[in-house]
Amino acid sequence: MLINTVKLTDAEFVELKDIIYKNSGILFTENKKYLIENRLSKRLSELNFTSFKDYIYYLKYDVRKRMEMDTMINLITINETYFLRERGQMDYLVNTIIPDFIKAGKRSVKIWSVPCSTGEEPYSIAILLMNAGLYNKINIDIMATDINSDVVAIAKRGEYHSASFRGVPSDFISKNFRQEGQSYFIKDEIKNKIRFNTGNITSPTVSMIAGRMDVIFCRNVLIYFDMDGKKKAVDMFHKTLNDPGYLCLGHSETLNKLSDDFTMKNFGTGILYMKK
Amino acid sequence: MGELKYTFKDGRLKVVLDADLSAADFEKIAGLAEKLEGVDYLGIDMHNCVYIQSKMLAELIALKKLSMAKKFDIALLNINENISQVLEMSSLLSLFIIEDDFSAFNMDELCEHFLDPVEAQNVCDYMAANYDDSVREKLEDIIRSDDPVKAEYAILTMGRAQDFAGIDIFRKELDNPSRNVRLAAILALGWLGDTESKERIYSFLSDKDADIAEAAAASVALLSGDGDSEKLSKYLENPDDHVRRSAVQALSLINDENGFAYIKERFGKETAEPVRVALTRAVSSFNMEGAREILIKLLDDPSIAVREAAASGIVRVGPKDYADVIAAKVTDKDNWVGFFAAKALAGICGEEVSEKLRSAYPVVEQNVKLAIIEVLGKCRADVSGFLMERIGDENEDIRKEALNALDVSGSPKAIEVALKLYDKDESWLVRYKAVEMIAAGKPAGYRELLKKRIASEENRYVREKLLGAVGE
Repeated sequence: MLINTVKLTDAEFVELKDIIYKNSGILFTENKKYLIENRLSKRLSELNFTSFKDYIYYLKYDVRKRMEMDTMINLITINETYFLRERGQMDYLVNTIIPDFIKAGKRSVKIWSVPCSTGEEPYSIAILLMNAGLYNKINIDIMATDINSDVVAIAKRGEYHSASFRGVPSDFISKNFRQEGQSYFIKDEIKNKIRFNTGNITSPTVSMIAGRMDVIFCRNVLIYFDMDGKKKAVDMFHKTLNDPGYLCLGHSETLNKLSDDFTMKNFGTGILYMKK
Repeated sequence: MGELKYTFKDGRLKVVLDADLSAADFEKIAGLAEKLEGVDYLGIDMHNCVYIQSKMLAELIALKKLSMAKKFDIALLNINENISQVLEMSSLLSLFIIEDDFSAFNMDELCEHFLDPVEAQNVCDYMAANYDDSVREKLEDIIRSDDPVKAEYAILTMGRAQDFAGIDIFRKELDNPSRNVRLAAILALGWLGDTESKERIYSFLSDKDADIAEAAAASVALLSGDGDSEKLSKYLENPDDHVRRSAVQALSLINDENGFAYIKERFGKETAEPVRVALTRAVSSFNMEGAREILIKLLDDPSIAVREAAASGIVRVGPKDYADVIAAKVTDKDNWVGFFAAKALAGICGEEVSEKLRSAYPVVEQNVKLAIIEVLGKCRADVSGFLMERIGDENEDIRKEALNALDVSGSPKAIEVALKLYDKDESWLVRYKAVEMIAAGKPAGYRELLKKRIASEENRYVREKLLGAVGE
């Protein structure tokens, strides 16, 4: 907003999106040109560049190119999120899925938040599960993964500002966070409930690290992959999920045309997909 | 599927599709476009649609064909990422105008877009351009609510709309616990020229949050009058590096003679590298006597970061009488200093400098080679022989840059080479560049040539470029 935006030419845009795709699996369509310009202009200025062409050469020919690639991917994948976002699925997990697991005699449940961004989603899940007293009734393991090492570092630190609490009840904040000045730190007993790591959902190693899961939250990210990338991710989720297993996508996302291996369940305040 | 919702005015037909769109909807649109007299624009608003099934793509293509026959434009409005990707995968995206059309949304829906990092700024601009009392009322409600992100954009919108009635609200929001809201208030007060808030905004120059300090520097500059450069010069003595950097930024934005004098003076005292880099960048923003000489001297600074910033600054201020000194830096041990030094020679590069650049070429790193080729394309000497040799280089960027340089230099060989490479070069980057040049140069029979290539081109970016070039 403050730095003059450097404009991307068509040729620069296609080359840059090809580089991003090859290094992250993320596909930026034409309407994301503006986002790239906005998010990378400051970085270009820091490096003294006035055109994206020069920056592309930096990514290709500088000795620090690997590091810069990570910096760039981190900058463009920062996804704004907040606590209790699209809460319906979380409430359904707490009120129906986990109680059903307990009734069925299941002793432990594994939940995967991927991508977890700055941690608001996995912490929200952990807080709701704690408030419902479910940690005393079943072993719960929450793993949280993101491609962006910067956001994982923020999530691990557990420090938030008011923008992460859009429309969140005040007792949710006072009960689960310690305020220091304008920062809100998640309490250690909640922080300790999450295992954070870095990984890309299109990479085959990520599911090996994750192991078997009962519930997967993968919201608002599939839209950034091409068909092939989406199919790979959904296929990996299917293989990773136990039976029964649940997949929660973002409210504007769908498995239509992607997979026939899930049954859609509409529970009123949202939808989720059950492994067939 | 219900009745088609549409408006038609002054040749502009706008249709809003429902969430449960079907192939029949597109047939209906085609029927309507044929029936109505004088359609020159068809906008299909898809903001309700989550997905487009592949069977509907055929209908969309039929609609495109109709538009070509009847000579009207088709725009797909407010399409989401899913639909955009389906169209891109099917190489159909380039056939349509893709636009946001916020007029389809009510006020609540518009404000929901504030939460979308991609759209927020565009919505803010749209609302500012269509500002009235009802917009103000809604924005004030949002500012009073507890959503800091929406409040941030509500303030920015009021500021962009130059709504002076917002000044009191923004002053109060300088104390908001949310940094987003404070940042927006600082910027808006600067845009509205609220000099009464200047002192308060000064205090944000020392904010630990770099974005807040940056916003404060911008607003201090907007609100500045006589004496502000002097006041900021005191901040240059602050023990905190980041405060000194903010002051440098504000001085460079005020951009007056006094500010330049304080910046020059600070160089003698400043030891912190990040601040020295900021000072170096600031120097290049002043179009004043002595700026170029400072930058030239800084090319020998012990800090690589300062030297790179200085070399890049010379690109901005121009080399003037220092072409020889700068040309000597092309082979600098730091290849980015070499890169910027080469780029700084663009436009003044005559026979002598071009010879120096060509002789430096074999001993420099790949990035500097690329800068040299770019600059040679802009020089006054005949370098087409040198550039033609580069067309055979094994590095794709060298070939692409040489092709571009031939084009920029106005060489008659440029199109000839592009016509050789557009279907043969192994690199899609080079083929893309060649197609771009052919489409712009329009040599005889180019449309048929490019059209013929579409079927065999395997790279989708080049294929899209070809489709766009032949208008299909």
